[in-house]
Amino acid sequence: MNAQSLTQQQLVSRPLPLKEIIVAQQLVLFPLYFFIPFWIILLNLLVSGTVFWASQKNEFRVPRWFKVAITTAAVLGVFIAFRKISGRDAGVALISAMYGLKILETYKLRDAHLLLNLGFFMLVAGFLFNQDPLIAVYQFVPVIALLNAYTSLYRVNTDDKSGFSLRSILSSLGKYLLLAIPLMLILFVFFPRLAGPLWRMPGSSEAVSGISDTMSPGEISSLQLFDKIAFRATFESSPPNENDLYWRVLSLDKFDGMAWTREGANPLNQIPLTEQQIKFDYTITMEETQRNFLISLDRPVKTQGRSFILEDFTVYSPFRIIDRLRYSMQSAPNLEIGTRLSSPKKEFYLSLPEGNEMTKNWSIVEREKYSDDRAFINSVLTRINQQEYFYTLSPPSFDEDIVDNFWLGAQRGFCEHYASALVFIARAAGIPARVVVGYQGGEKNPLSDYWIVRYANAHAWTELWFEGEGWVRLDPTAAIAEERVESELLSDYSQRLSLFDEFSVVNLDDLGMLKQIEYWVDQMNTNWNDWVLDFNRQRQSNLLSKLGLSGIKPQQMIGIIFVAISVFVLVIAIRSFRKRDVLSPYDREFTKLLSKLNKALGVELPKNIGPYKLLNIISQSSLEDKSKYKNLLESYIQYRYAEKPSSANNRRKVLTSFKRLNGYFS
Amino acid sequence: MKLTATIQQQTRKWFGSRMPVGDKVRLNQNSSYIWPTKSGYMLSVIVILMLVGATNYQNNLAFLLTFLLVGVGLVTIIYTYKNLQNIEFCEGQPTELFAKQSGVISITLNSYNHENHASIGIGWDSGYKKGVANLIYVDVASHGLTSVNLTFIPEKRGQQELPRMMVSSVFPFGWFRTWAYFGLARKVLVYPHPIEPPQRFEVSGGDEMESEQGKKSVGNEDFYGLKSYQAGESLSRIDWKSFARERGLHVREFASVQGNELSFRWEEFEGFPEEARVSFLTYMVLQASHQNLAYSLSIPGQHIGFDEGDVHRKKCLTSLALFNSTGMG
Repeated sequence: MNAQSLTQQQLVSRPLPLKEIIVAQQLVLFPLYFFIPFWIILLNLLVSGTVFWASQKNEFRVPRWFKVAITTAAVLGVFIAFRKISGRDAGVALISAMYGLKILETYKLRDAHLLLNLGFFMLVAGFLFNQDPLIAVYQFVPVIALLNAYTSLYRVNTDDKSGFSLRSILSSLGKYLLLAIPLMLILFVFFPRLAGPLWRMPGSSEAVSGISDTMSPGEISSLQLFDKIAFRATFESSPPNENDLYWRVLSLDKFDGMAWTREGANPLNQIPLTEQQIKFDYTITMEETQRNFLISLDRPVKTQGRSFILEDFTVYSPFRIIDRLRYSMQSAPNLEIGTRLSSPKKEFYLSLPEGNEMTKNWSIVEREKYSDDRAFINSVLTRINQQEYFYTLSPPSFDEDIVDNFWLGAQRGFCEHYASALVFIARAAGIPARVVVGYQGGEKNPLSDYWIVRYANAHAWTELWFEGEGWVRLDPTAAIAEERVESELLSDYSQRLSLFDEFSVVNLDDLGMLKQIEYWVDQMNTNWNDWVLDFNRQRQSNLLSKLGLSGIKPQQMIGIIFVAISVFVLVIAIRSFRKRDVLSPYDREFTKLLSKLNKALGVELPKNIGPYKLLNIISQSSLEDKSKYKNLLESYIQYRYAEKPSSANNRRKVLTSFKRLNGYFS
Repeated sequence: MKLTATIQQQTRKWFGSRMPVGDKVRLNQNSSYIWPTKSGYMLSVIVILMLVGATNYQNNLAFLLTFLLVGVGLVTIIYTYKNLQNIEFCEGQPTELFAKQSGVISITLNSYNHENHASIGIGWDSGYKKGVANLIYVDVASHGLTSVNLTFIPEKRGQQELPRMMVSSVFPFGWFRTWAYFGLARKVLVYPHPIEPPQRFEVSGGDEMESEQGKKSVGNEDFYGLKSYQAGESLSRIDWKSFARERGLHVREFASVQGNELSFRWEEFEGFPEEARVSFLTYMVLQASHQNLAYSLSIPGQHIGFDEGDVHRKKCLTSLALFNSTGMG
């Protein structure tokens, strides 16, 4: 009759449910294990194992000196590995190690609470590295494990293992999560967001590839990263022709003989924009670059927020792009820029370093053959088109005179070599010129209305300045094979690959179904990015204005949160507290049996008759098969009036035999 | 100091001033309360840290997790509260209680919504000291009865009301503590505190009582005797005085009275205060019934004839318990 009971003192001082706590802790740390040094993982697992083992052996306690030593070692280890203990990577490694070691200092109920509460914070640390949909789903696992560890701190009856099966954990804790999800969504939509971060954290040490702000065609390039997505673009109206899809990022205007770099440019004061210009409005979602330059369609005329357009028509953000970023822009591809170039500027765009004398001379000699700059440049492009100029991703690398070696020697290279060479030739011939780097083309997702641009689309082209025309875009690489720009969706792959003699040609068009799946996955990712990861202040206000709440103030949003949450909580509360006597299924079956017996016996049995009395009546009645009733009623009595709660199995048996008996009547 | 004590008392009175009282009690929402625990406060600080982190890194997954946690927290308020509700409390099998002696009150808990109620603490509200109630924790099963034995030390004899009860729980997550009060209407019968009558007829002739009460000596020489202690007998009955005099362990007993039945009379303890007389007689009744002897009891206005057995014992103890108990304040 007496259930297992504990005094307050015993409840507080009994051994902690270390198994549940350690499981929760390790599940919390698991996503971080992909991003922190391996020795920290080993250390954490070792320490947890030791603590669990020690708890099984009552007399063993982890000695204090060991804890001090191991903690010091962990801090030193992080410092040695990262040379610092601040910054994202080192910081997360440090707190992961500390959080793992916290189990050594967990004896009391309050220690356990601290450990579990901190678990939620540690989950946030994991999101700094990975924000895939998968991790968003995974987070429910550690959350449930944490909640389960809390309940096992308080459950009195620890012998009854039925409450600890995965199924019962899920069913009892699942309801908390199911009810919490609507609350989460309300808060997510209405919680006021800030436009920018509160403070800047030092960036990660991870190198991000893509467009760099130097270009040295002599070295082997990093064009291997084919598939990684650089950005996505959505046009408000119809997109420009595909060969106009030149995505501008940087202009490089300084050459030291080996590498092109950029001289700083001032913000642009005024854009000579006229009404007749063809303009495109579009939104770009770019992946992190760790740099300040935004991607825009050549040539940007209007930008968003705190970013601004520079004199070389690149777009600059005061913050480095350390997260996926979304912004809207307007571009006018046919805009004339830099029609008037001051003489110091002109001189700057003509400057060339020592070296590459052969090309310089070649350029000067060739220029003499033509009446004007345009005709000369056309002849250069024709040369590329008609002579043995190859496009390859693995050109020979050179240590000096890289332009000479390419232009008059190997004649093999990719866009950077061609752009670099053309600018060099133009400058030598007295035409101001610069290299522009960015992306060209893109693939349109046929399932949706956006363009995917990958690192594979990274491109370099040139801008040459002609009197009266200003800066004119010229793409020498396009001169190699004209089809390149005109060709289909996957032009970049097929074009480039077909030009390589070293690689076998893969026609990606044949991978129909796979490609379909890829697009589908990408669409999912895009939706995930759009609706979850990029849900920033602007998206929030867009969504709210769609809901008819445009121009809503943060205070009002907080108000909405309060009202909505209060209503929701109130509804659950009322539902759970509505007082009603719940008849247990057994009692319900008993009442059913009574009414059936009424009919069978032809008498009116009193409604409040108990099973004992019923047993008597039945034994005196003319019913057949009395033993059947007897067995059932006896087990019912045992269930109903026993001092010890009967087992779940027994209860089920009672219920099924009740049901069988009731079914027998009908 | 006095003022805070008064305020505390008044607050305590206000809490539970609308509590349910009855033989079978279900908690009501007028006297059930809920408030965050230290862990709850700690978690709210962590939630704020998470929000700051999420805002700073513009990390929407962190926002989602934080809001999920807030949602779980809000739902937990309801479920913590609900865990304590829907339980029926009633007094279980009564046991013998003696004034000023530790006894047991059994309380039966029954889940009437047929759900499990884990980690329910139950105890006397009077045992509440330094902010920690001295509660006994049980898991109430979804089906069947669960019972708890609570230690109870009655102050006085007679029909006594039980102090109000407190139930409390922090289940499931220990973020909130919900607590409630209720009263059990049925009074319990408390027998008087048994006190051994002064020993003046011992062989050694102890002198401790004689100076005061020597004149009032009552009883007969062979009223008490000492018997060797047998393992298993109650330690309280050991005659420690003779033990101190190095005569070995002995147990006080009525000397055997062949055919001479015992009669316990009120007048025997003349000169003692009323309560002392009641206590002495209670002691003697308990002693005699322990030895399975027949005895009679006479107190003013009541005489219970020679008899033996449990029913007789109960009758005697009850009349002692209720003797003049109304006048006892």
